Amino acid sequence: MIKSIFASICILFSVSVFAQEGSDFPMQKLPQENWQIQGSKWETAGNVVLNPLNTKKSVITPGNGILVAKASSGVLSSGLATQDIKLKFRFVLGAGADTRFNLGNGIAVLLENTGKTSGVTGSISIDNGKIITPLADAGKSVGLWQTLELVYSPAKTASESTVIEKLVLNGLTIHENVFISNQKASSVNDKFTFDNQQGFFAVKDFEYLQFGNNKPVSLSELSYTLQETNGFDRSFEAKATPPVSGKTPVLSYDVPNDYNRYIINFKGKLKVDEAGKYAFTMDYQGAGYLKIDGKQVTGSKEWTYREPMTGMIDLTAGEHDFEYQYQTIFWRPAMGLFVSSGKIRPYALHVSSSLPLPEMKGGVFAEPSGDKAQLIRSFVFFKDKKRTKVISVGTPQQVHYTFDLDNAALLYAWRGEFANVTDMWLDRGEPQVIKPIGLKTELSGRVPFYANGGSPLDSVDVYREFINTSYSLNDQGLPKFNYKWKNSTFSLEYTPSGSDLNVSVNASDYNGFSILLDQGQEIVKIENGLYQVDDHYIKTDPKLKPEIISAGKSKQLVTGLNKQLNYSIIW
Amino acid sequence: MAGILLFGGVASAQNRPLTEDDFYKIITIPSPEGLELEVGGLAILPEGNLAASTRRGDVWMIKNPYMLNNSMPSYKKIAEGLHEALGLNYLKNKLWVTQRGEVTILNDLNGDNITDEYQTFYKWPLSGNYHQYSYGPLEMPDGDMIFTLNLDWIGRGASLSKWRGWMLRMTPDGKMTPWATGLRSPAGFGLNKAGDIFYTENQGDWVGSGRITHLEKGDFAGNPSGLLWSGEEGSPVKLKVSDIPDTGEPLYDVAKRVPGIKPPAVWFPHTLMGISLSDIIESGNDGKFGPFDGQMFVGDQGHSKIMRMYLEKVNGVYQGACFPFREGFSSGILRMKWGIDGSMFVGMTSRGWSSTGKDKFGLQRLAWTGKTPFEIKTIKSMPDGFLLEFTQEVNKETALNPESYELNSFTYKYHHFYGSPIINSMKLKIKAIQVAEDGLSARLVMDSLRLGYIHEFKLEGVQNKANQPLLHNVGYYTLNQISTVAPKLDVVKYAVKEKVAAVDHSQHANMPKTDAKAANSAKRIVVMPAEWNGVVDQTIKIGTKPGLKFDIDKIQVKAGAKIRLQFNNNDDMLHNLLILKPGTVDKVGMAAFELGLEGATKNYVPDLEEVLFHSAILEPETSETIYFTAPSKPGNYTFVCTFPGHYTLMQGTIRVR
Ligand SMILES: [Cu+2]
Repeated sequence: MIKSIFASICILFSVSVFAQEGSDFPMQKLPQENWQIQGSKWETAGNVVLNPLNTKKSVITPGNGILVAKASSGVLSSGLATQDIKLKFRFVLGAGADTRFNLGNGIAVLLENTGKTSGVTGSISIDNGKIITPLADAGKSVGLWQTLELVYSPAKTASESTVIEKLVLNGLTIHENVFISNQKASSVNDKFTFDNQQGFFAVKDFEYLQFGNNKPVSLSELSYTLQETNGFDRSFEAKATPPVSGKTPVLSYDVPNDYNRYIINFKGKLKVDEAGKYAFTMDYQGAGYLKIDGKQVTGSKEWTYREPMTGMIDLTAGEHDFEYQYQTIFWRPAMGLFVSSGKIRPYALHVSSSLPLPEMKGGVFAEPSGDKAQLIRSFVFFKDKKRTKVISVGTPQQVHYTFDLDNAALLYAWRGEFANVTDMWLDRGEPQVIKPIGLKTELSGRVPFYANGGSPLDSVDVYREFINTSYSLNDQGLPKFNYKWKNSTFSLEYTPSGSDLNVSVNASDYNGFSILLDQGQEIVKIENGLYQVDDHYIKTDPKLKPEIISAGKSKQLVTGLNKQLNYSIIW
Repeated sequence: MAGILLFGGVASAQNRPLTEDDFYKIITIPSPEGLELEVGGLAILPEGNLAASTRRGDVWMIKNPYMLNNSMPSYKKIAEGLHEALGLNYLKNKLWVTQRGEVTILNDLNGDNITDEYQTFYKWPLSGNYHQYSYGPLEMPDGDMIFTLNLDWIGRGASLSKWRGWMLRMTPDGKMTPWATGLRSPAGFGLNKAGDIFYTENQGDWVGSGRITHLEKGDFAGNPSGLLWSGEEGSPVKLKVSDIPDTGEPLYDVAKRVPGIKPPAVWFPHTLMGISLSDIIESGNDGKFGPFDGQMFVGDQGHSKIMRMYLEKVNGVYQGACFPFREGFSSGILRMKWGIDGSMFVGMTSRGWSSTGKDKFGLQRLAWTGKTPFEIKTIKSMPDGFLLEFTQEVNKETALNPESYELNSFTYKYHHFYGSPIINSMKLKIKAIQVAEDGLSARLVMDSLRLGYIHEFKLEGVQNKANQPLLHNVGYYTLNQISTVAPKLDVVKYAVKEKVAAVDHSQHANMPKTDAKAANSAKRIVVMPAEWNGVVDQTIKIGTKPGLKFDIDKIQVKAGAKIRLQFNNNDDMLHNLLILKPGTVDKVGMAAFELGLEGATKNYVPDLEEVLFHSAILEPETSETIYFTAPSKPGNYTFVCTFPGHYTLMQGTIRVR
């Protein structure tokens, strides 16, 4: 037992299998032929638009790519062995659906919305009947496509634990390093399967990376040159002191020298046993770069404190020229290098003494207590930019939202836990941003009002024209945001309703305005009063009949504003 | 007191040296467990209540903050969801709060004392930089309000959105006029009786040391970043960024060449008089706060203390002196407000910056005990020197003795660098002394007066009639103008006796100005001793981190080992490193502080046997290696930085075994 935990912990302290966004390994698609459809009650489809109100009204287009279980379709095997793996797929549930994603050895992830006490989507069931509930209910509403990602390490012998290293549902980590003991050793005959016990279920985009435990990349013939530098200047000018050089058996900053600040440059050979695409991750405090065959793979001139940087490169089998340069700044020296690929987990090419464990902070979290909403004003990142006049409202009903006061624009709605405010309230709070914790959907972030006959505005003068005059709180502590524009007044209110968010808009004095309800890449009318906008629904009065219009690459859902308007956001 | 009575009786209690606590008591206003009362603003409410806004964006109503008859205060949250609320005031029967991006009026529509409407009074753009702090309102006699906006911090001060680095004035109906710029980190500002505005500035880029500047419409106080907006509509400032020379000359001299630059009324020498000035409030004229009616009190965040400032107007220009007043508060002081009984509420936070008061936040009250401390009450400019007024009658013999005084003058560089060394320091000689008949003042005539310079007064020898020393014997007068109102003193009649071969007071000023860095002294060996033959037993690296910390807190060495210690100052402040005998850190730390102006030339290392080894004082991002032989006696030795204000936090242990 101890040994197996130790092995797993080593993995924890190295670089995550989830690489940085944008530099993830291309995963392997599981071909449709792999699925053992024949003889099962499962079907294939080209497109599925589920009607959440009435599954029977769903539109299922014939074709390939999607595997559909209409009801009690039983088991479908992926044909993929339950070995050391990272996998990802998308799925959709109809009302009352209950499907198990079996990981072998009697372990299953429950994909369901039956409302049964056995758990919610993302619960793990073990064959002894035990249910491990997720850290958060991250399941989306009926009819919306969901994404599940899993890093899984089954027990190789009966004395080892099976480890659910990470289970991410719709972007939220719901299990991390769950150790399941008293298992059989996994067998090559165990396959990942879906077992549709009841209700509608469909799955698509099943991808994976299988990990071996070999180490196909190694370093040899390492030598170093160390040059003292001139202060902390970003120019890194070398001093007149002579460089120090030598040979080293290992990659480590710790080579004998008398200098405080220096550039250390390692050169050597990178031996690659197996050709393929590899990712190299530099982790250091300072600045540096990695070059392979003279080409920079990763690194930065910017001063970086323990923010791993990953670059990918295609390598042929054989030897390659290796160069690793590291510059100490004013932090203690620390440098490391990890390699990974679609076939191997990351492992270190440095010695562990060269890169100590990073210091972790406990964090500051906000959660509404009592029976009233909690308000937090902050900056927030929205579509990669900082919005600076933002208020977030957390409710005891656990449905929360973030609102741009200047632009009267809803930015995020989410449910579950409220907010991570570490970046605001720990130390100086330099980023000063709030981070929603729960299952989040992103809204348009645009000024919603515009004059009839025009089109939604890209921006408006929020200091002289479109003025946020105040917000007032009702007896639940929920704000009503008040605006003045063109001699009219507007107000906006957001109220939790079950797991949805209701929006109430009021306009006074003049009715020459239209409203942008939402904007997305894709807007699908499901039925009167129900529109799917990317990853959420907008539900209006069926009589309202908003228009879907095109605006460049996106679609907009708009309608006239006649004094009072209510709609809800469902995700 | 009970303990003293027990051991020595009343007599010893009276004979012990008097401390600040004998005259001004700090009373802690406790807050409930779990309430992060990081005070950003304080407001005095009717009916004896107090309101505090916090950095986490709440406003708390505190009832019974005076805690009379040992009763407990109570706390109630009356608003929340404000963005780093660093300004609060009760004006026109309402609470006004300044958030990062706007001024908000807190309305209670249903009368339950809880804010249910947040009304935007005025707003400005934000860049998203954490350093965009905003402060106010301060009410002017005519009902207008004053606000200030910090610069951004991007490794230097910058104005990344409109009016950062400015003071703004607003009418009650929300009409804004840009008032003055050149501000860097204007966390505190206040009015005097005449209705003139003074603001406090922190050492930083273009700011050699903390200071207080009188801001009139159109003034430019020194940091050029805000000049980015001087061409905007409504700007009363005409200077452009390119008008500001970056020569390192004293600001006063540059201001003579470049009209529009406003020299400060009073410099607060860095580390001698705080390190980060915050709030500023003027005492009333009712005597409720002791003998300093009409003087101003200035808080300091980093040193958790309050200083006192006397201002006078000479030839239409404000200038004056600052004095130590009261230290020992529990956290970093940001806000000060007068309570209805004439005591002072002090609101504190130190998160993100450290302070000598170690708590993360706090609320205290400072009350006068009714006893008058023996203090330098004022320093006033005279045509040939200065007039010093005292709060008590002096022992004339001591006041007439020139050896009771030590006088220097110095100034700072005006340049884009962060802070400044002390420059052009000069020892001043007293030529004549006249002590007033009533013993309450002394005129000093000196050999040199320099305009724009800080004149330091150290009155170690002056005593009152009970032969007690001054509670605080220093003051720093910034001389912008020389007053010619009073006649000159008869220097023949009041000449001081030149003592032949007396103690040479000028010795420290005449010390050879060797480069402190190059010196090899017994306790600071920077070159490996030849007898080591190039062999070092152990190399130690110690660095510094922001927030007054070393990057390591425990080191182990072998007794008698030959040690090479490399000290890297990675922080953006000055630090040194001393190795001390076990258990002596407080003594050494305090002695280093007492070095005063001499500190810089002595690397802030006091001449004490408790100091075993030390480095030089290191500029940011520099390093020094020292060599020493570890003590032969095992024990827990201390390594510490003795830069003033640092030693209580910046310590570590060297275990010798
Ligand atoms: Cu220090």
